[in-house]
Amino acid sequence: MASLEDRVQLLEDIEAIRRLKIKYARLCDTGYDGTKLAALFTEDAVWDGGKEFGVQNGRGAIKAMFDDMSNDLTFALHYMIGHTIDVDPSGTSAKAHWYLWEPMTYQGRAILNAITYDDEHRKVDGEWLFSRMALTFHFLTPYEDGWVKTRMVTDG
Amino acid sequence: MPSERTVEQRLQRLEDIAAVRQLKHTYAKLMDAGLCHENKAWPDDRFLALFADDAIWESNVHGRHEGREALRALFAGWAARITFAKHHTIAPSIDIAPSGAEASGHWYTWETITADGQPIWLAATYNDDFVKRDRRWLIKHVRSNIQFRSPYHQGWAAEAPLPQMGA
Repeated sequence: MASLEDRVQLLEDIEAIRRLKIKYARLCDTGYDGTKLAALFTEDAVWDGGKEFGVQNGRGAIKAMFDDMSNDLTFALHYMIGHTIDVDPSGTSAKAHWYLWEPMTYQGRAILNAITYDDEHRKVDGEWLFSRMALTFHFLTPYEDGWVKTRMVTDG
Repeated sequence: MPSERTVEQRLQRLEDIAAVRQLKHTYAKLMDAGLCHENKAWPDDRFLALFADDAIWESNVHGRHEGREALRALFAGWAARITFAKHHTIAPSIDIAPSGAEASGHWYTWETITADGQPIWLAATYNDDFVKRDRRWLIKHVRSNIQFRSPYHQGWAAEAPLPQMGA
């Protein structure tokens, strides 16, 4: 049986990881500051956007990707929903799953984006960071089309 | 958490976060139930009791309203126009002050609304303040930053960005 302190620590870790993801969302939604976003990732982190958006290896590559993001993506709201967070018994790594509902404006066009995330975390110097963020795109559709007519706008 | 805090203090913080989260979600729940009701008498005292007496409600679109009676008038105005509302209130970031008597919270909301008979998407973020009085958390200051209010059939890309308030 875990001690009361260990049980409180687990709840604090879950809350900290949850907050990290929402911080990521808020930085995306307020202009994609590459420096601040990259600071949420470990030095060796991987951002995996799949075949649609490619893979970035390391904090520097992740920063560069985010620095360019708002050129065409002029508006976005990342609604982070339905988290499941599992902290490893070591207390220094964790895995998380999230849903994302994201209305956005891309090149002047209203787009609806539905993603799930598989994230991995490491606790570095007492702070939880992303060590891996993997995105699965379920649809990325022009608002006026809907997801039956156009599942992925990147296919068109 | 600094290690000098006792386990009981750390647990108290987690309980306060849960209580503030539930307060905000009760605000959404009672507002939606009130606005959707066929024979509405909203805002009722149960809803207004979620707020401190000197509470403020403000947004970048609706202006600033201070005190419980001003809030009653603001919400009654909505009730006259809105026949359906769902506030999907999402992703809380809640900070409890070291005193344990004040808190702030950020949320996202994705709202489906019928206003003046028309379907509307409304997307907003909240930067709210809370106070604990007589062992109960109350809403002290709602700041709603509306990101877009768009007719369902039009979508949000055609709208000019709304000016945003600071926290």
